[in-house]
Amino acid sequence: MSLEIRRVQSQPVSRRLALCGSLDNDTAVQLQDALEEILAEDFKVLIFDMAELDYISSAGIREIFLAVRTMKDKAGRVAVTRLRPQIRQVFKIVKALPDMSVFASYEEMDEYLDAIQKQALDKE
Amino acid sequence: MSESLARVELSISPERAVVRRVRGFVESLGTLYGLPRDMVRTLELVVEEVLVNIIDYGFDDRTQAEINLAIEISPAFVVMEFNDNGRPFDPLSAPEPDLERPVEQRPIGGLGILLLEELTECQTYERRNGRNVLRVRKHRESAVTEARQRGE
Repeated sequence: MSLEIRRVQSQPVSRRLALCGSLDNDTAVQLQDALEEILAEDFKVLIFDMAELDYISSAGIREIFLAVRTMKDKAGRVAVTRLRPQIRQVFKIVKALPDMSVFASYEEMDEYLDAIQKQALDKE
Repeated sequence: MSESLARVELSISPERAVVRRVRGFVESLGTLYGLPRDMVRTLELVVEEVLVNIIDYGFDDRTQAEINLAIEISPAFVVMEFNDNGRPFDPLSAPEPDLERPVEQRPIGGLGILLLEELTECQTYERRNGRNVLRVRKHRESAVTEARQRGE
């Protein structure tokens, strides 16, 4: 019942965190600390890879919501990918999915990121 | 009404650190009685959301706190009954969070009870002999049906 947070890879427009284990009342503070550090950086899409996230409670959802809020403040987005059925169901109940980009696979997400990257380059 | 396979009663000290241990206990019960994994996760969620609420908001003086949890496992369902001597509080009649607003505009709170109500089949609250009694029932069948609906 622990949480492991891995920073998987960074691209200019995105940061990717893999969450593994249980995001709950005890472990939410770990995510809070990780986010504090990462959200200070300049990028557009914060990705949570939830393939190995086994459990989430309201305390965990609150941290994700705070990340959504912070990313929106900086005109960015939160994306979630590879949600397990039970985690997806929880997000559905709290109606969080419309406020996030949801991807079933890395391929789907990479296409989206490529488009954002291209947009960013076009602006420069 | 089917006969129960097991009935367990826990006396829980009012510390957040204990919540994790109770969750672990529920997980072990699930393994012992062969409950579906999603069902066990839901039961863990109920344990966490209810106990954290009671521990954080139920008492002015936690040294006087008495919190009990009875878990009854039947072939078709699991019932969890939380019983505490904290201030009267009916979580089931608390205002529901406004889910229509974007998440960044929502006030924090209320999500735990919403999850409990949506993920379990039956919830009742009563104030009995100066104690809060919250009963939550999770059907074993529904866990199976949910998994089928998801095509697992």
